[in-house]
Amino acid sequence: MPTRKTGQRRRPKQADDYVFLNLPYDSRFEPLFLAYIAGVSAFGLLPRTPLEIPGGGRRLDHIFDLLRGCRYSIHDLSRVQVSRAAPRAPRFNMPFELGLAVAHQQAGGQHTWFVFEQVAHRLSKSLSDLDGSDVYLHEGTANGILAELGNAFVRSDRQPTIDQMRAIYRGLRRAKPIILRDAGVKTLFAARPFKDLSTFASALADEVILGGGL
Amino acid sequence: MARQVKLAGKFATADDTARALGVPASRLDQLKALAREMTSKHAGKTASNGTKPAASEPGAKLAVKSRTKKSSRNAHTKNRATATS
Repeated sequence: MPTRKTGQRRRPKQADDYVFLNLPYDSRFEPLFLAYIAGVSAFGLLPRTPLEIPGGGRRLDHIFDLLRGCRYSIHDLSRVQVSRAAPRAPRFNMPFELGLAVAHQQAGGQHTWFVFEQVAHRLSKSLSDLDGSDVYLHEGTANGILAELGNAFVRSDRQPTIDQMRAIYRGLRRAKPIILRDAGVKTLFAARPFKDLSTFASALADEVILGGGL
Repeated sequence: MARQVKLAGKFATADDTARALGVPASRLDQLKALAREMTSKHAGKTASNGTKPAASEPGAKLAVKSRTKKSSRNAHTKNRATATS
């Protein structure tokens, strides 16, 4: 019986419908965060984010486990600016997690990663190692994200229309105050609101896509 | 053109999502009920006027703004008409 070396991590079970969302968490990004959840759910996929990870333990290990459990990952690199608040620094989390996804795929993992950006040609300056890779340009709008998700994924049986994706997005925006109130928090970027939003987006997709609404 | 990935797996339903994320069954039922309520309201709205509701993002905001402007302009014209008459 093969034994695992000390410190070697067990590969988590991978699910074909999990999408790891690697996004910035700031209030200005909130509409785009909702658009990603709406769009991914419209394709019958299940969003996963590091927001789900509880405190304690080594965060990086949890993030990598979550990523390896996902068949797909989406990396939004639209926040490459230096932060306004002191100490001023760029955010490295998104490119770092993209690096983890690339390494996971290169090491033989069954994983497909997608890079989303807001500004055309910026990636070749900010991360030229990815020259030659496809970049999905959303131009900083929710509609742009929904359209680009439609360019990234295709479903032979139940391909959502852009109107159906928008309907789910609008539903999420309308439900936001209820979800925040029920969770007793002020931000969507926390574990409970994220889980509620994802489940609610799936419930809307059940009605709109599977139920043939719109 | 960017590559497109063909999805062949099962369509994840709200039950699948809740199970994967550890959302309790009672909360799942609440969220499903809210989704049903929203989509049925939307369907009613569509059926009553025969048109789809306007997209809320981002053009609708502008549309609301321009409608407000127009209506205030109309009100102004009306006031002037009242004043002159």
